[in-house]
Formats: sequence, C-alpha cells, structure tokens
Amino acid sequence: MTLLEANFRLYAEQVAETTCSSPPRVGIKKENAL
Amino acid sequence: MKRLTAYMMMWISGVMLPVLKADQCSNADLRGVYSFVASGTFAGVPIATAGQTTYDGKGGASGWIQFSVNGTTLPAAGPSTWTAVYNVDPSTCLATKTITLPNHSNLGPLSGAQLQFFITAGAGFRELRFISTNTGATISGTAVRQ
Repeated sequence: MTLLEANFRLYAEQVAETTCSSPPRVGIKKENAL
Repeated sequence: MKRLTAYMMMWISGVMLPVLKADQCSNADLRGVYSFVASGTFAGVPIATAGQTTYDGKGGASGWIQFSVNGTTLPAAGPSTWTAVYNVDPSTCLATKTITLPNHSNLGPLSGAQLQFFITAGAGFRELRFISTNTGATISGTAVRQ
C-alpha cells in the first residue's frame, strides 16, 4: 500500500468516525412515533 | 501488366498506408473545455468526482474538481483547482495524463497528490473514457467536450 493510499484510508476512517459519533437524535415527537 | 499493377497496389497498401496511418493523432487533438465524472474506489474507499478540464492542445491542462469520499465532499468548501500534463500517442491515439492537486490542507490526504490516468477517445476526441492507473485505484469515468 502506498503512502497516498494509507493516508487516504486513514482520512476516510476518521471522517466515518466523526459522522458516526454524532449524538443520536432523541425526543421523537409523540405524533411521529409509530 | 495486370500483375505489375497488382504488385504495385500491394506495395502501396503495405508500405504507404502504414506511413499514412502514423502520426494520425497529436496533443492538439485534446483542446478545449471538457466536463467529466468519475467514480470507483481508492484504497477500498468509495470515491466519486465531477469537474471540468481545459486542455491547451500542447500537453498541458488545468481545471476544477470536487470529490465525494464515502459520502463526504472534499474539499468541503467547494471544488479545487488542479493542473496536469498529458500526452496523446501519435500512432495509437491513446492518451495518458498526470494531474497534480495543489498543496492545500482543504484537500486532506489528496493535498499535493498526483493522479495518473489512461484515456481513450471517441467521436473525434469529443468524448473521453478513462481510468485511474494509480496503485490502489479502481476508478473509471467519462468526459465530454463542452
């Protein structure tokens, strides 16, 4: 694996972690809950 | 006489035609503004791009590019510029191109990166089909002259 590949994969993993670590949405309105 | 004529025709087709076929393409065939899209994976990560290329007809090119890396736009603030050198093989009309992205932190891991491409042309160079030849890249795309 080239340095560019390694850095690119690391970047993608970091972006994915940031996206997934967002706080979960809570407090679903009662009228929207099924 | 007929035999001599036949020999002459064979000689012309065998010797002259290849000469005429040589140098049928040049860097000048790639000139103007092209719109492109490409997608695939790099290092196993999904990637898509869209952008614009301006070929100068002399082996140089520049343009704009916007990446989407696994669903996240890169650069986040908007498309980046780039420069490139290219070469059209005179005998096969196949082309290669090396793009250099600027050294800028907003490009993340692609800051200063060089991306290589193998290009085939169709419709008199109005349409291009290409793949990335970088190690670890499985990316293909198309471009159309505007």
